Amino acid sequence: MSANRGGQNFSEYGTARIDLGNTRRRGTILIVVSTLILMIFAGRLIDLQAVQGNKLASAALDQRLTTVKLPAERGSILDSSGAPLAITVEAKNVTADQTMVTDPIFVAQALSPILGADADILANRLTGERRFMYLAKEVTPQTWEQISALRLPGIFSEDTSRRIYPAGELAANVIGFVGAQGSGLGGYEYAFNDQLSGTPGESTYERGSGGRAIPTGSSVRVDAQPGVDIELTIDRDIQYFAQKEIALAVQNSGAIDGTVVVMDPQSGQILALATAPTFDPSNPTQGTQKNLNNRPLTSAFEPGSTSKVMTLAAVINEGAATPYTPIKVPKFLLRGDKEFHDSTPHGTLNLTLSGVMAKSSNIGTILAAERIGGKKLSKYLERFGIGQPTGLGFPGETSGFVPEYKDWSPTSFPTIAFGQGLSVNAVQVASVFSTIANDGLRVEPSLVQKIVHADGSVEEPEAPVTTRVVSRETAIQVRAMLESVVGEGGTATNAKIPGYRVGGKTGTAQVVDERTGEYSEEVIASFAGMVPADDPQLVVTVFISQPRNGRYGGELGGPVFKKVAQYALGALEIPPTGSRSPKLALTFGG
Amino acid sequence: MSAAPHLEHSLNHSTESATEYATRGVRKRTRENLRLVAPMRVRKASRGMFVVVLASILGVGFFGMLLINTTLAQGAFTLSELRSTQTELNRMEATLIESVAALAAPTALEEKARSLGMVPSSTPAFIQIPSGKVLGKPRPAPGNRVATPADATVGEGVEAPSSSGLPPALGQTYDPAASDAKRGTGEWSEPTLIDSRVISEDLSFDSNPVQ
Repeated sequence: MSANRGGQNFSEYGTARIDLGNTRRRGTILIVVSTLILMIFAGRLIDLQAVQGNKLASAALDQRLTTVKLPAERGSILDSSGAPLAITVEAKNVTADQTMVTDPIFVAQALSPILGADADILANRLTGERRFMYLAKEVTPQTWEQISALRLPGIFSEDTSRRIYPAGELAANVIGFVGAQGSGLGGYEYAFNDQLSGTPGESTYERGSGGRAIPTGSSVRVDAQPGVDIELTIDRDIQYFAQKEIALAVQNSGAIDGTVVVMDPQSGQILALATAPTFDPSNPTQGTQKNLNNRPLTSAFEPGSTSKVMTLAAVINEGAATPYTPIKVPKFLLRGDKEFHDSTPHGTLNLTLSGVMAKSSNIGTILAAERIGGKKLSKYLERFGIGQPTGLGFPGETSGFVPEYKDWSPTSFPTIAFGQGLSVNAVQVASVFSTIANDGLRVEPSLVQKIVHADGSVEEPEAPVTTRVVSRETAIQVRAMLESVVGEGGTATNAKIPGYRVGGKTGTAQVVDERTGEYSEEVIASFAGMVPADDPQLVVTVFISQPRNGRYGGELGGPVFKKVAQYALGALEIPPTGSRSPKLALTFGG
Repeated sequence: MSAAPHLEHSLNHSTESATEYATRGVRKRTRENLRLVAPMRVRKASRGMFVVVLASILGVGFFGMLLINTTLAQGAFTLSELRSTQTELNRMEATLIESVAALAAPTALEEKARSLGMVPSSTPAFIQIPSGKVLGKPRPAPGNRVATPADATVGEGVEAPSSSGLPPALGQTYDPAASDAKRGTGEWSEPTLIDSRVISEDLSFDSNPVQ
């Protein structure tokens, strides 16, 4: 007991001593505790590094990484010589942080003369709590430099680009226009939008706290692919001249609109595609919808007498007549339930086929066409490209309309023979004359010469489709007949160009009244011709719609043809052939 | 066997000094085989040396960092400088492209040409080389005469255009004699362009315009 008590005493007394003083035990506890703590640390470490490691690292990287879009430069639209028709230049948007502008009136007055904007409107835009507000869009870099030199607080800039049309209205109908977002909304700007815009790139980099790139950080940069340059077949100078002349002619004749097409018959390339009135591509919202259209391709009309070329070429090509074939032309002709007349009343005329062309006799043309019949005529129309797409792929283009042969009524055949009851666009007519000019071989018209990629590689469009429409001999005979139109006794003597042989055809087509569906008093006066007639290098067609002063294709279209062709001959350096025009008999001895 | 004494000798020699030092004065009074052993002398690296090494490592590290940072910063400065130069040049290019395009536009050219008294040629005509045959029917340009051909001597003829910033055409001179004949009639006579190089090729032109 005593020992026990003593032992108890000892133990009671000694417990504290052991706990505090036993170094070995204390050490053990320390080791265990610290091991536990270290295990927790290690566990957390493994969790952070191994288990969640990748996720956290990428989250952190995401925080630092920023991606900036690199806009692609829009390609240019050029003329056949590479002169710019539409180009993109650097520009700035001027923006404001309203909360940083302390004195809006003062700032507005400082900016007003530079931006050319009203100070009150600017002051309004500068007042408020918005942190981002546009003050002006697409100003030149110089303008922005002037503003930035003022060191106005709260005024910032934004990089952007601006589409400019250095030649103004020149070929606006072909080029088209772009919208506020810089994408094409009309014309070739629209049709080639994807190729013109290119592919935007992007730059991804690690960004430090100051917003600057961390030099050693990871970065990926995909450069923007600039858009392609499109080189048109349009000759800027000829286009300018044609546009000016047609605008003048439309104005002088009080017409509602007009078009001129200049074409190289051998290549099918369109050198000028002018229309008036047109629009300013830098300001398309000011133009009316009608004027935004590319009329030579988008508006269809009845060709009238210019269509007689196809009919008579078909008749000659079928061997049914020659330019000398005599045709007795009566006062009027009854076909179906309809009486057909010529534009000017006459008694019975003794005309040759050339005379029918030169005098533009409807009755004579019908009589000649009856030698081959409607079925063959409709085939020729199709081969001449009437009622077919031109192949230009222009947005909003019309193919015109020819009723199918099986749907022809008894009056259809005679009507279509002299150019009514079918509709065409101006380029189709130019293509018909080009076919005759190119010895009967039709070359599909083209407007795009080549596409130049950003890396300098050149993409040539596919070779145009060619169709043999009439034989070379036929074409030569038709051209001689066309010369008689411009010659003495013809309908277009004022289309004559001194020193050159000119062949062409006038047209005065009645316009169908949209309300009544009947022919109205309004006409489309036209002239389509080629020069030099014995070796044609140029085809020019002129259409003037609903003139007030003057009526006939010869008097209105002829002079425009002459001026445009004269200019183009000089510009393209086409010398006269020096040969003499044949004198075809227009009448025969009866 | 021959190496052992040598080894012993060298050993003795190396420890001799330490032992001698420790037992100096004791040696004679104690037994030969018992001697006081000095604590083994550890070859202590100098503390100063250690500090120097550490400091230099640290120094080199810091200096290296500084160098890298400076280089990077320098690079960043150069980059931003070049960027701003590029921006500046881009702006200049954009402006120049725009103004050239505007000046070269047909509308602007026509205006400029008309202000210089020029008119569009009406009928194109060509001279065939070398026969000298004239193709086409050249006509005098329409419009009012703004300068008498006689005034347009060599000096003055080129002066008017050059004052408008256009270079004079090379090798072209007006022949006042040819136009003098028509003077006073009030009728516009075409100033005949004489190109000396063409003349030397044995070609001649009528002094009167071909009608």
